[in-house]
Amino acid sequence: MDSLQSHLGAESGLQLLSRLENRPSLIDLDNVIFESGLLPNEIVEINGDVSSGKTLLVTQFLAKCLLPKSYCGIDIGGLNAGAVIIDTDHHFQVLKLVTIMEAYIARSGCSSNSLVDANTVESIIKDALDNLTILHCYDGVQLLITFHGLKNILSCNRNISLLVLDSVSAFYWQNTLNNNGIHKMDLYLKKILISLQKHIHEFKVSVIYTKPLYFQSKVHNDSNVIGKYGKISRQIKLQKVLNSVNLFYAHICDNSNRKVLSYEIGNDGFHWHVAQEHK
Amino acid sequence: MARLCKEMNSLFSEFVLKNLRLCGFHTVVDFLEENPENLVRITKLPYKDIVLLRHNIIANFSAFQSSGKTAYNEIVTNSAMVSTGIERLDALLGGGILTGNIYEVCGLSGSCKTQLCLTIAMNIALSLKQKVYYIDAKLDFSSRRIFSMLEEKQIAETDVTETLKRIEVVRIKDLYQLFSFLHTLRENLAQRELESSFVRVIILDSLPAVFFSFLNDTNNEGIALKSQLANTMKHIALECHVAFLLVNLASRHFDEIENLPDPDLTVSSVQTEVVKPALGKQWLHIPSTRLLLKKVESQVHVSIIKSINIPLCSSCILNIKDEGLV
Repeated sequence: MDSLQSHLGAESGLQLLSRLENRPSLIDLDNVIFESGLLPNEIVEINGDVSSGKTLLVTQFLAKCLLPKSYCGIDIGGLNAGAVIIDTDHHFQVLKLVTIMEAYIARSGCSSNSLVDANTVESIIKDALDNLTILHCYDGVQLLITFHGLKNILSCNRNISLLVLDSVSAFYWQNTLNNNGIHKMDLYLKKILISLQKHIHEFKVSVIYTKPLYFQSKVHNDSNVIGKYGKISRQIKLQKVLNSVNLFYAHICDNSNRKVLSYEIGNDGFHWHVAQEHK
Repeated sequence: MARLCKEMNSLFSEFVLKNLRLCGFHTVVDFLEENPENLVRITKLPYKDIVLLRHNIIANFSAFQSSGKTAYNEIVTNSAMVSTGIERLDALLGGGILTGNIYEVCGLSGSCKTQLCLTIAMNIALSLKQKVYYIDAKLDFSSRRIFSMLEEKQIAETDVTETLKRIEVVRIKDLYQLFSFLHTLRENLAQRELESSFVRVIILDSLPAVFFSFLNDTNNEGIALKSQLANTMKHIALECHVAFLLVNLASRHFDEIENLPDPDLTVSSVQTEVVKPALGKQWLHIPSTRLLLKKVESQVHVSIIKSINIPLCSSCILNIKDEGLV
């Protein structure tokens, strides 16, 4: 069938559907980090030290992504999009997601509105949580097979626009044990990304993955990506300022730009020190 | 690694499997990664059967899928906050030890890590009347210490025996015994819902003791096994709603470090003393909450150095007394 397709330029029904359908946009996911918005098929890497807030940042993205744009005429400011999280590190906590969502709703000014009481907030959050699919993976083989299953999940849920993988490196070391050989970390990373993208490319979802700071080959080469898969469009590097209690830096690079922002971590997520006017 | 076998599906006949193996397809991943047309040629099965097999394998071997709402409800109904019985520590942890998580207690040698574990084990067995597993890898669990703590608290003799009975000490000599214990534990926890075997907290003292034999390994086998251990524990923690409390050593480094995240800052180097948890940088990312203990005279300073919901560097001070840490 593949050869037929390439000869005639035909496409499968699935491809046709995914070409025509419109998943919710993630342009407004985070105006501080993604100034020009997060586009379909983008791959974003978040790397950072221990406790620099990788999982927290991801949780924060999920909160915004899942919450509705408005509720009974009250503006909330979410994106009303679905999301999938492939959880390999098991640091992601649904309770934390709920806390962040609560804070988000409170900030949006709903709480001052007399129509919104605690019960309404709870039902907004429960509805939002329904947009999230959680996949717990416990070994590398399971992860690869889960990638195969994504096709099904994505074609059944038209509103999923975001896929999160936290983290990409969880099974690297076990893999070295099973395969009687050591892959370079960069190579392993690229392989994982390529096998992920192969399955989801036609669905045009954005991917955000996390990895620990140490996870790169000793001889690091940024620009050897050939072909359409395995290319990272943005990199966010989180770093704690030494000897500080709660001060961090985020280096954000995409193809053309590079910027450094400082932040601290509060109960309800990241607090950026600059760019408040973007709100 | 899941090998392809007859038991998976009736379509995998001897003939089909033999042909697959001849062409080098041994595992389910090999099967999935291959182009379906090639598989039709190799197995002589109709296309629709191959598609069926693929679906079947994906359904059986991919991660369990749950919606955020289900996960939330599950956590609200099944997970528990287990009080450590130490008031200040509970306050620091936001109520106690939350099931589904891995906690790590680290500190230099002699910083009361084991004392903390013994106190927590005793408190859970005494006040909450729950069974506690105490995995003893250093072979130095002291029931006498727990006994004297209970005596100091002036607990009636019958309660003392009951409490000691609830602390199940598991002696392990190496990593492989630990693995086999964890696998049995998982089966037990999954099967029995009896009150008597109700376990929320599993304590492991200590982690480095299990990994000492891998100190000089060049094949990264130790790292791989650490990662495998972590995944096994996380699986049990989430699936069976228990929490793990691990003891880890820490080491002290004196270093001159340049830290220049901001290009505008000028170069400055400071000599600092860094206390680092043992077991390497890969392990740093594993536990969801890490407590650092520091002994100062007759007090222990506990600070949070990794967590997703507790602000970092929050801390509390515990007193070392005859009845344990308070």
